[in-house]
Amino acid sequence: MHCSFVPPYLLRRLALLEDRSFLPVAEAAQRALGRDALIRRRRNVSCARMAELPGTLASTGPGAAGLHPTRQINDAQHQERLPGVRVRTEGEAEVQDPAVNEAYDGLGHTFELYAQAYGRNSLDGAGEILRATVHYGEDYDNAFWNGTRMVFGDGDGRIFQRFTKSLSVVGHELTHGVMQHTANLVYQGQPGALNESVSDVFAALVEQHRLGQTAEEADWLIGAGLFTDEVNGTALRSMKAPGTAYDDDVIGKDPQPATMAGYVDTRSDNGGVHLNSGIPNHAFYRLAVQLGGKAWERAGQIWYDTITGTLLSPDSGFAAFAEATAAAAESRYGKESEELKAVTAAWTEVGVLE
Amino acid sequence: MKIAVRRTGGFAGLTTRWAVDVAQPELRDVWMPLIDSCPWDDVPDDANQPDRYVYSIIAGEHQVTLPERQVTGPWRALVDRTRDAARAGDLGEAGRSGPEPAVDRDDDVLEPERPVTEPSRRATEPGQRLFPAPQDGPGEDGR
Repeated sequence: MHCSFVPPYLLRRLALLEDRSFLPVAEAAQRALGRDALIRRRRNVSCARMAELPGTLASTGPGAAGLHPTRQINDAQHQERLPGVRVRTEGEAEVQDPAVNEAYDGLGHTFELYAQAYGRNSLDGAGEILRATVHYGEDYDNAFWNGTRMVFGDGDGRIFQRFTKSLSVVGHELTHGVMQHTANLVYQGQPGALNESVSDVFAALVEQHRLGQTAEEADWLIGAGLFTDEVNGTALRSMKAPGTAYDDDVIGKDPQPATMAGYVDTRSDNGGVHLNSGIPNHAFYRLAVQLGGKAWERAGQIWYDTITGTLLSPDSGFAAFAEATAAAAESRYGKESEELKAVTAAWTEVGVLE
Repeated sequence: MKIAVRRTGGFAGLTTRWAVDVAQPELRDVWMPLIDSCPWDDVPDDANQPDRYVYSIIAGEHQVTLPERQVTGPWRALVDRTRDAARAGDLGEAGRSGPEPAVDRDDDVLEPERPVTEPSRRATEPGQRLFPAPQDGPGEDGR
């Protein structure tokens, strides 16, 4: 079934529907409009819409909402060549290698959050295969998204353990894939820090969704369990208290700011994308605890609406992003809603809005 | 000649530096052919991939900032040699570590900062090649 005959003006009208009973349609239309030609080429609006209708959501399992992941795990065998050798595909039993199984399970948990909470079918909304490569390089202290797959190093064993050990790393990298198909914020400066922050936000939500935690119960840590015992630190980043995740005599102290007062101007790290992400990270945390309950439900929905909506451009900075989240909250919950008030308060507390 | 590499970014956002000060005849015999083989003035404006490293490299008057996927061929050889020499310098065997963050001369210095040299926790011995020959590159996924 092809739906390319639905004209863009109609998709635009559908995307603007504010009546909540039409929201799944509006969301599907928004995503169908998309930001890049890739989405417009790939998306099948009616198919996506049928899959995302409320009432078809199952309560558990990767197959919720009638959606099923397709996972492929490869092994780079300590080379720096991608994609590596295929070692496990969808439906195959566990293997001996824990890194392979961690990556496979992490992909599934991440798919589950997007499918169950937001009715999204994989990264592109159209069932894209979830691809991961483990054992990349030698002593490689990193994990990254290369545009088509997640890539995990094993760590050097002195500072870092293998990067598949933390579910938040998987959620973070896959969200870069979602970002690529939605707001597509450029990976530089403030939009880059927002790109990073959105990955941290949904990484935290993947973990909380997996554990059934409320905002109050969650630790709001990114990369917990990656450091070896030799490092004095609990995680790589803290959304609850940016700047406190580690303080170690070898790797130094967590440099993330929590508010605009600590904003770092730098040309390192693509303009400090892993530093200043602490500010929008903390804004999301403030919103989530203010609203209480399951953070993926309302706070996460507002962020999801924001990146899949039409208000952001690839070079949006903190202020434009904050305004877009407020518009998303108002659109979904109303002008007088506690959600909108909490969004505005959160951005004000971190100094982005006045 | 002062030669230094500063690696920033990555998922963890940690900064690591390796620096050496190389004297003749080692500079002429070993380092200059490698430095001269790097295309310092021909750096493509290539967007970085999320969570990959950013390398700032300085060698005398030369300076460049590269996304990780550009650090192949002679760049990779220069980075690896600088790192290995800096680590060897830490042990007092050969060369010596740069006492200053030389690459920062045209950059903002992050505070607080990691130590100037490589952490003392070692998994490998100095001089050992830590990475395989570069094979990665654009289109690496065949897609």
